[in-house]
Amino acid sequence: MKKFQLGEFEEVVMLTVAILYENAYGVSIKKEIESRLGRQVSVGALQSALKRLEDKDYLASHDKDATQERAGRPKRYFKITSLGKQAMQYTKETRNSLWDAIPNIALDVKFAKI
Amino acid sequence: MPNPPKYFLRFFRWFCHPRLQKPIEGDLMELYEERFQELGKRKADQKFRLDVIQLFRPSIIKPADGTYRLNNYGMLKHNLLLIFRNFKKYKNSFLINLIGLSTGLASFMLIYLWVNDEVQKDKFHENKDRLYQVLRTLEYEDYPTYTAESNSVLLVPEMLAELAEIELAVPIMEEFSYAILAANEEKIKAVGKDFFNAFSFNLIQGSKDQVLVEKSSIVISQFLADKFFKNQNPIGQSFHMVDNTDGDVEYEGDYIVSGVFDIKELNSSEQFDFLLPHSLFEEGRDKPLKACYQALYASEERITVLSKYFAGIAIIISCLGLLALTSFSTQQRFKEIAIRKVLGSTSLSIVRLLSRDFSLLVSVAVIIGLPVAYYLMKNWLNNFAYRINLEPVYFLVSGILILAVAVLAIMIQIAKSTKFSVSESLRSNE
Repeated sequence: MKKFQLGEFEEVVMLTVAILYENAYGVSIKKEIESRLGRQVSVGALQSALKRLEDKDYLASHDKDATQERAGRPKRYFKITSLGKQAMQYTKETRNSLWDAIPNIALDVKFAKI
Repeated sequence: MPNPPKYFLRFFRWFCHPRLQKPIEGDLMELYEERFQELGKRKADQKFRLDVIQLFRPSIIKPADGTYRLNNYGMLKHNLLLIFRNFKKYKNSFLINLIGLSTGLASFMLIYLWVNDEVQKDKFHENKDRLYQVLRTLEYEDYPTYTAESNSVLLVPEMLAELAEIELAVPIMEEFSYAILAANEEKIKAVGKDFFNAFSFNLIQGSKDQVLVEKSSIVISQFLADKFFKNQNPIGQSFHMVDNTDGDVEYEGDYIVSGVFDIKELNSSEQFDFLLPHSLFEEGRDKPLKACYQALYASEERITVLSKYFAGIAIIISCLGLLALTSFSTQQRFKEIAIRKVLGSTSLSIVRLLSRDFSLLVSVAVIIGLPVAYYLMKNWLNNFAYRINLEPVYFLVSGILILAVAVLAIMIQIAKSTKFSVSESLRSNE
């Protein structure tokens, strides 16, 4: 059984939340991903990923006061929980161990098949 | 202030999970305002519509069966109230059910405990597969055939000499003690010297081979040892056996303690307070000593065999009873179930409704039945010369069995109740 379940997009969202640190809410996360990865993110995909991560207890959220620019709607800020940190660490380590297991020659450009 | 397309906004508000609605709406508004500034109203409206449609996905849509938790405590109270009202409404059937169930449970428990005890009896002997008892059948012309456990003293050396398969032969003689050692010690046995080798009675002190060799030796229970020689080593202490009859007791005299046993914890059909060497009685007599005492137990043993079958039958009958009972009470409530079904109640909620009622009835019956069974069992068992351990584990096991039977009965009934015709039931005037 897998210890931590973290999909590709979910991982991207987790990392972005970590980058934004105290300023991670819906729009800022969306923009950050779009600018850093150069890919379009729909509000729906992002929000459902955020909800999934929150259901898994990898993220915690709290609402901050409503502001004028959002027509009186509150912002929901996200934070990574310690379980979330563990999940990220785990994902990173498994990736690294896979990278380390690749024999040098396999990815050597000189020997790549054309 | 620009306004996003209002039908889409309304649509979003309608489908969105209430916990997510406000912050996501905020995000949508923020994006809309920004796009409005940069791209103009038409593009911003377009993107807003797309966002809303892309938000329409399972994890964002609110669940169909409501998002607010019911007040569980309130529901529990309400359900209990309903159950009691149901009991009150059908007072007679409730009482009959309750009495029937409690009696059924109590008798089930009684039989179960007894059979369980009988099945486990004498299982502690290590050689249990190789132990045999020699019986003697007496045939008379004018009396029924009679089987006795008593045999001639002469049989033991004869058997050992003649039958190669016999490893050990232990004569056992038991008698109500008319001699007095202390008050209430009446279970006395005279046994052959290999008694502790053949049977696994728990000899605490003394050697298995030696304790019953000397004619003047006596082996006593831990209970007696504690009573007479508290804090001393009982081995080597002497007893004087007093005869309180007119010289009938042939074993009056002095004895020296050679061993101590403790059989309190063993589930044994043989019970004794102290043992004397059988050799005391072997001189010039072979008169059986205990004919009437054994007859009592012989009949008891026959009942045990029968009761194993009866216990099975009792369980089957109580299953049928439970089945009829649930069937009756469900039929009475068909209309209620029908209305619930019409209003969209799921099968699971009907199962819960029925089993809630029923499990309350069962638990009340358990609360009444088990103590009754316990009390009867205790008093009844006191009539036996031997004692049984009433362990809570037995009650636990029987409790689980009872619940399993109850669940089975409910399940069968419910399987039936999901099939009946709703419209028929609602139309009828019953």
